[in-house]
Amino acid sequence: MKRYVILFVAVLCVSTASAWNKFAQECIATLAEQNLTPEAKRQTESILGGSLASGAWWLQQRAGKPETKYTGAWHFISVTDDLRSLTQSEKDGVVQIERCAAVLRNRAEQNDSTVMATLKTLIHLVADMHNVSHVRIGGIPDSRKNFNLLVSNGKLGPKEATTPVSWRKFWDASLINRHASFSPELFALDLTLCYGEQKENFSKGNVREWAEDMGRLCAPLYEWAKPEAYMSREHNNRLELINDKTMARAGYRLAALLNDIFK
Amino acid sequence: MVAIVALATTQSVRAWNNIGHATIAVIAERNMTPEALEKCRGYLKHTMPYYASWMDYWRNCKGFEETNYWHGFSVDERNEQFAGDTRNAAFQIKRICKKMKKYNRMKDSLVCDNLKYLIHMVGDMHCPVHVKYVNEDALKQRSILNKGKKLGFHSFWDAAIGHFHKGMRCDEIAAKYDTLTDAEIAAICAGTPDDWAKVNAQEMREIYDLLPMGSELTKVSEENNARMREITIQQMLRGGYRLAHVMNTIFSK
Repeated sequence: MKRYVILFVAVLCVSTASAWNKFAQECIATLAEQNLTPEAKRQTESILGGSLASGAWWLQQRAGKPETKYTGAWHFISVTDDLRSLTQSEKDGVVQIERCAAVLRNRAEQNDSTVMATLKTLIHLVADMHNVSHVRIGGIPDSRKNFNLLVSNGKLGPKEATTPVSWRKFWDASLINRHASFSPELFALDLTLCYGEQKENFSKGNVREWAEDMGRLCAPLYEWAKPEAYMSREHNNRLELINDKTMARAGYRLAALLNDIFK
Repeated sequence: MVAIVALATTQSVRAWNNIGHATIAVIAERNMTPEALEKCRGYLKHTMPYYASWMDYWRNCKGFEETNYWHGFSVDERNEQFAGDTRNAAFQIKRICKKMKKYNRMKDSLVCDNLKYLIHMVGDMHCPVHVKYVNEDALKQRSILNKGKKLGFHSFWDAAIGHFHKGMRCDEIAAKYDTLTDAEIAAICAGTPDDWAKVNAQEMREIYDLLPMGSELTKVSEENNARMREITIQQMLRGGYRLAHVMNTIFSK
């Protein structure tokens, strides 16, 4: 564990805190919770003293504090230009998820606070690696930037106006906020109704394969997503489907990983 | 009469905002038969609240422009809709309900789209500012003030469900108010969309007295504020129960 902590602290990097917003994180954690085995649910509840959603925002709060600012980089993942997840960088979300999983599998030898912090970190990072704007793709420099889109207000003719919206804000908050009045349980039900049949398919593989899957999903978006790119309301509407799909993937995959860890 | 109809049909309205529509759809789902709910969700592949604001997001997109006129309705001084006016929510609800009598012979995607229209329009026709009193200057919607800043009268009422329930989720609001008896619900659901429109038109005149144009929102009397809240909840419940009734009727066959 000492080595684990040292490595975490040693990764000093300047990064802006960015994540799916609190509501999205809670929805993903709620979907995951609903798909835990009874044993995994019992153990995670015991560790967290509550639901997965109760721990989903913890890491984001840390990213804003000077002493734990280094964790900001973990919210992003990288794939190569041929969309493979090969990185061993301590700054990468995939590496940190693998590390968290290893710590949790070895939980008998950890103290309670480490296990709790590690579980909360894992919950958040598995969600964030499925956020489109958090996937960095080799050979696509824009995937590493937080550029502005010009988003249409959806009005017709001379009443149409555009507002600059950052690429990250668009994926972190704008789309999911269409349903911000829902309880996380209600939105998780929507994800289940729409993607429940694909649960097994989404859950297959390991964290590296999930990163590569996200790379394949995100790469085509950069054919149009560039600094100052215009986004019509229609285009905006269609991207909601991608956002939902990635949230469902995140929820089912988080459950699969936790079910495997807490057998 | 031709001129009046032309005026009536060139006006588009906005909508209850997201939380308002979502709350109405949750109330509807809570009052649908298990069979209707299962079928509805089966076609939508989603809950009804998910699509409650769908018409608003698509209203200005190519091919959807005409739907801009389907969010409310216009009336004359006797609270009657204009003969021949088809560009309004009441007419479109009736039209789609008629088509949906044969839903099981329609393509799934068409059933799905029709449901999305109904979910929005039944809610929207109950928004207090979605009645256009086209010939009455005293009932034209202009601005009010909120802490000294201009706020559209229409915008205020579109957001009224959230305004009166700050910090609450749509499913919490629905659970709080969905407490009417079967008899009370049956009374709300009696009649046709045209009947519902007429009653709304008669009753929503009151909001122009409760919150006159140019008045300061923060200085509204407690009595008027309480009445505005009451009207908001009443219209929200009417929208929710009637939407459930529409869905139960469609899927009872």
